[in-house]
Amino acid sequence: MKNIITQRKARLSQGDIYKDVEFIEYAIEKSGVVEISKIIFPFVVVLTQDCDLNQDYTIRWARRATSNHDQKLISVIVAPLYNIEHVYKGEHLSELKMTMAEITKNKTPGKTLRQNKTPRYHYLEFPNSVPIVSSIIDFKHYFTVNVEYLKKHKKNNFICQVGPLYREDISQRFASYLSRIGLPDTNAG
Amino acid sequence: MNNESPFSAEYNIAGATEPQPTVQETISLDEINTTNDIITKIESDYNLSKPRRKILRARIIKR
Repeated sequence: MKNIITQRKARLSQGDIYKDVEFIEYAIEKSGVVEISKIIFPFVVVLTQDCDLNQDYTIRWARRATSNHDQKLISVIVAPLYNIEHVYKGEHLSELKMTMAEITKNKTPGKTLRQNKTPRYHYLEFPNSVPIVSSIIDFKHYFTVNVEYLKKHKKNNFICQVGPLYREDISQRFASYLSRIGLPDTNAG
Repeated sequence: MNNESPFSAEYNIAGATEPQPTVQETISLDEINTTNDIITKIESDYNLSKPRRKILRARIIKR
């Protein structure tokens, strides 16, 4: 996939890839001590619809006067990118003490993964000008990030944007994965 | 036989000798150490490209 935009826009955009994005797992207070646990994802891709991001930006940052806040977002949907070599070995979350299923690189599972025929995953490869190895988006691991945090974070952590059609393909596959219907296992006793 | 150096004078280094085996061996060990450092760096970078958890704790100070 060579359709990559490296020019940074002012606003958050669908298909943007940022590095070192934090996800707050929890924040608790007990006996006067606050504990915050966060996961730092090396790379994430923005999945929120671009028109929603554009409208939010116009109201929030361009300070256009509106009669209500109807088009303001609460958060932005993102999904993590994992190094495909880690994914093959099922060790991409080893730093979080999680063991994932292995995917055989040179057999059918690895090939269908790279052909984007596995609904849960989306394969991306980048030109040499982009400092990211071939990666897998895991739609199951999507999360949301505060809009203002991400806008500030973007300034120093923008990597690139997936180009037109390819970014819509990612979001469409994400929506399809999320709207799947889990049918009961009729063979189960 | 002409013993004159094929190089012009500015390229002649005073006291230069042919590479000695012991010197060569020392350089090789240095190279191995450097290589190990590079491998260690690559391996740590490799793991840095995985998500990691960070836990922060802070005591609330009442004013």
